[in-house]
Amino acid sequence: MDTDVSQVGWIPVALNNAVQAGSAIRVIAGTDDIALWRGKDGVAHAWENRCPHRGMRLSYGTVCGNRLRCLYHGWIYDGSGTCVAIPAHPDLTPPQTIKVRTYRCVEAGALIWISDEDNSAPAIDGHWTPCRSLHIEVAMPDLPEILKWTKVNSVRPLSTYAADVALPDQGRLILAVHPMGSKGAMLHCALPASARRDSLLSASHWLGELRSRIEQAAVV
Amino acid sequence: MKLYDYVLSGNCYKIRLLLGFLDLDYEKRPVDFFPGREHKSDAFLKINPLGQIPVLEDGEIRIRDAQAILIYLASRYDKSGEWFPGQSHSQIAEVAQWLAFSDMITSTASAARLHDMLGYNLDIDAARAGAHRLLRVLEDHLAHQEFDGHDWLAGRRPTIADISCFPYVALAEDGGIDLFCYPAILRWIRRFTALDGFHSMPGINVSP
Amino acid sequence: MTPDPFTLSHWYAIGRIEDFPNGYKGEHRILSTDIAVSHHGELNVTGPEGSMGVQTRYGHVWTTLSRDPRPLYNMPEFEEEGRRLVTAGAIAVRCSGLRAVENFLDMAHFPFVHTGILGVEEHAEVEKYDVSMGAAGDEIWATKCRFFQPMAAAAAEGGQVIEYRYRVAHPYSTILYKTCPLRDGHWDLIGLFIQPTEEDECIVHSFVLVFDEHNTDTDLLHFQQNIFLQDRMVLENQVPNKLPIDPRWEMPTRAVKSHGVTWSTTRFEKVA
Ligand SMILES: N[C@@H](CCC(=O)N[C@@H](CS)C(=O)NCC(=O)O)C(=O)O
Ligand code: FES
Ligand SMILES: [Fe+2]
Repeated sequence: MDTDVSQVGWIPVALNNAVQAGSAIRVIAGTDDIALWRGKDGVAHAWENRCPHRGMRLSYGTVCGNRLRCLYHGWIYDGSGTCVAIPAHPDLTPPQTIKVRTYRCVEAGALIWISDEDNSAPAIDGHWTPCRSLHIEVAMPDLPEILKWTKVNSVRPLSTYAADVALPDQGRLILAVHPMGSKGAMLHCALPASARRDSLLSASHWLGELRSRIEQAAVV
Repeated sequence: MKLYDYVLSGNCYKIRLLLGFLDLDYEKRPVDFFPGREHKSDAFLKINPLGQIPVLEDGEIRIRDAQAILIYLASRYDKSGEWFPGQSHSQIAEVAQWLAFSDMITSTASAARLHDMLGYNLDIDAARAGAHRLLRVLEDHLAHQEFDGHDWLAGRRPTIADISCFPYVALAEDGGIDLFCYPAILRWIRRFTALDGFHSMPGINVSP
Repeated sequence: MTPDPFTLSHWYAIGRIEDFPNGYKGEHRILSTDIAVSHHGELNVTGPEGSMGVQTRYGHVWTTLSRDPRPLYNMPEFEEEGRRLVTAGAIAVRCSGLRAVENFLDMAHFPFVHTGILGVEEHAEVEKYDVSMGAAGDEIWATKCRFFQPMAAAAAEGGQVIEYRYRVAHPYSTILYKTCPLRDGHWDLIGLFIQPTEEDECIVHSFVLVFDEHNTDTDLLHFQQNIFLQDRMVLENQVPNKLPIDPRWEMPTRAVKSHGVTWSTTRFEKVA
């Protein structure tokens, strides 16, 4: 079993279908509030969820082509987070210093991963399809802790927060979990790309039961 | 047609939405719901003894309850028959089930919003917890519909079930109910706001 | 944090006059302090240190934690013949009251937040306007603010360039004077009386005081609440939800800095 966990810094914050081309969503990773958005070109971006102008959450913004426009005053930021237009002052070239803080953001295993560090992204073989993301109301247990709640045949850790697991009934899947501070945590599940309706549904029920056990254990 | 309407009411918004989708002309009779509590006035109680909005008047017909009004409008004016599909018994039941569910959303998510926004005195923790229980049910259903290749609550096309559930789900954050942990609901909201003839209300963010 | 002396020295609106009928008894909050309001023949407000000042003006009930409050500012327009007052009720917002003032003073958001009503994206430019201190030195005015509006008021028909004046006469209160579409040489007033409950929570009482013969009071109410609820979504999603004292932002920064206001603010450096 491959236990090399070199990708501690990468957090799986969403399944890849949570943010569609041309849209923006809000995710929480640990204590960080993040705007996750995808340009028309399909490229996913993870930014600090705060407009440098007056602090509006950028996840409320509008994707215009491959740029993000803030909801509040319409300032426009390019893919690098640099402000390129201020509608209230159309003749002004925005100073280069107006820049959103960005995270590194990659996609692998039907998950969107973000990181603050420079280490290499998690390498995940094969093709995967998103199944479900479920909210856990209670503080996040570690992945090995979570796996104790279910029967597994084998576990191959992908990072601190994700593992490629084989289950007796569901077969192979990626199970990921990401902490959201006071907001609890999210459980994510992806299946091999060949999965059809019945296996997606079955994995969804399995994940729901797993969540119940985690939440009930925390209550007692 | 005359709609007794309040701008901030999600239940009135359901009716405005369907009237918009069906492109029907109507007159709005604005009600001073807040702060004036006009819906509890003697004059209004003669119109609806429950003291609630919306109420719709169409000629001699007067209907209260948003879900009842949706059924009336769709079955009377929707020539396509798609907003309230009537061919299959099971689909009629399915729509009815979500209409009832939407009234439970009113008593939880909408209550939380009235508390947080307009200072209503009620058990806010119970309202939010109740809303989250319903949102989990909705999230599961929408995700499973997607597995079937269905985008909407009761099948392949949007129905009054979607209209009825949409407002107070989309407005949940007004009442301190986070939606970011419900990805299938967020996708459904996005699809809904992209419908032809959709219009927004304050508190709902539509990014085109 | 205890409120700074300037913040403490003011009168604050806690509701509309009709919200406190004879026989009324209720708990309220200002500046992180519980207060009790009762009405038995006369209005009484009690705080931790006993009975507090109370007055009714501009359609609202006002109180203060100060024993020696600054006088409540004057709005002579409330005495003018022919105007209608519509009060829009108490709307709670999870943000610093100063953020709500900042938002109110800001025309640049109209095309994006009040799209199709107070602004359109094709006319997003904000032209230069004048900022000056009021006669007594304790007020700030922004004048000659011009902005293209597709539907400036409930009584407006079609788009027009509207002239605005903004008045900040109080750290938690701000009034907009807007050219009246019906009467030349007159201004319509729209204002916010903010009741700061916590450093990051407030209750906004708003009013319109206008010349308008076409709309019912309820029409005006719906127009006003529609606009304000569009702002509320923004206000609840600004990070941080206290007001950063931002040197690039003249109006609120001047108002706040010149008086040593610290309560409900954060220093700009911390968030930059
Ligand atoms: N079941 C009714 C509920 C309507 C309802 O709750 N309306 C609110 C305004 S959105 C109301 O009038 N509430 C006053 C009350 O229930 O006393 C419907 O769906 O129309
Ligand atoms: S806060 Fe983003 S543009 Fe003003
Ligand atoms: Fe605004």
